[in-house]
Amino acid sequence: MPSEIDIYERQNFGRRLGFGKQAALLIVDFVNGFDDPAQFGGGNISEACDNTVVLLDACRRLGLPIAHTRIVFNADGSDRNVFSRKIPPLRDLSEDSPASQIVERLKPRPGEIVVRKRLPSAFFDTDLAPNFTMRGVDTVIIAGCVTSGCIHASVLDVMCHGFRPVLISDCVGDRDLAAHEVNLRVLGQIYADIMTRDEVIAELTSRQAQAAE
Amino acid sequence: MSSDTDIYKHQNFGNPLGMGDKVALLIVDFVKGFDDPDQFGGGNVTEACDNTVPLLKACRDMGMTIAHTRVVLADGGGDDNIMAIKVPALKTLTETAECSQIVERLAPRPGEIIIRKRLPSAFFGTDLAPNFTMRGIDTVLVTGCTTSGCVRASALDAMCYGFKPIVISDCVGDRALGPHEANLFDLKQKYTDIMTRDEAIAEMTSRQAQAAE
Repeated sequence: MPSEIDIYERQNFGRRLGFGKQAALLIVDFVNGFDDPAQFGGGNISEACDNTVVLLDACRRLGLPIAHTRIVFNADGSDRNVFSRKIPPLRDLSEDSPASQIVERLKPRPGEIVVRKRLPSAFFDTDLAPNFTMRGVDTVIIAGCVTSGCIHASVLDVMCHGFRPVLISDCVGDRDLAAHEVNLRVLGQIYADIMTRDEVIAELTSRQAQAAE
Repeated sequence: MSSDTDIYKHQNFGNPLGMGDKVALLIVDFVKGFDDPDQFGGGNVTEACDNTVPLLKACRDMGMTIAHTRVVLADGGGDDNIMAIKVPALKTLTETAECSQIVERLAPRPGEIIIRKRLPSAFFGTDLAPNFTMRGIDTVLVTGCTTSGCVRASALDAMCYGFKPIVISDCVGDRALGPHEANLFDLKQKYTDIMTRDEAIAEMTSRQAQAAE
């Protein structure tokens, strides 16, 4: 009996997109509330968050544009939406709440992009795509959480906006490991390249070395 | 007494954006209906359309990305919008109507982008920005009609999407010359560079010669 992967192969899905000339790093929603299994976290999220420290450090060293996202709703409830109706605790992620602050170990530095969003995708009704365009970005490396929610949505929109998505398998996490696996597998077939953290760091480093020659 | 221009200078508006590394040509709505003073044309629209012929040829010779737009509304009125209430004659611009066909002298070639739009901007509700992004475009030459309507809206959105817009002053036209001049002035102060056709061709030719060295 053919496996699920066989059907993608037979229908010629899952081609490699490869890297362009200018990559950026996008870290989606690694905020305190998602790093805490008692709030929005659990599964392999904290582990993915830990793994991203080394990736962020490498991307900073290589001078890549870095963008972080946070979910931020107004404390007065004025911007609640269908998403926050579906998941009411999202309403508590207000500008000053500890849960909505980016985790200390991935804290943004001055000059890095911080996108506040109220919906799954980092791109929906934000200026992240124009910002990347202005910086000449053509490839977006994606880390963050959760794989089946905001990561899936952001990867989709990276592709729709004309950038090449590279999803870092050990730097994305989900509270639900089955959902994590199935989303990674499908995203690799339909929208994105999938690499491990160490593979992407090696690739970026070797490209920079070649460019310097 | 200070002139209108002095206050822009005093407040440090109107700085040059310059030309980036990869330029696309955008030709907005040079369709038969706008080339006809009895339909949507008049003023300097036809002259601007004539002036665009050598620009299009030069851009093709340099292998640049070319995008044309048409206003196209559905035959049955299914996609009529506020703009169509304001300017009901737009409803005659259907897919096969003579007036919505691009003028012969600027007829698109296979491989050139053709955007069908129902609103002023070439970017609103279309995939033109992602298409340019995927091609690595950073600068958009804007030509077409009318200066105060679709050209202005498209130049504004080119800037909002992170591209550097350059409006070609003698390749944009308007049925009314007062609005034409006033809008070119606004665009130059706030959003875009302005060049004449021959200036733009000379600049691109010299850049291409340098790149070939």
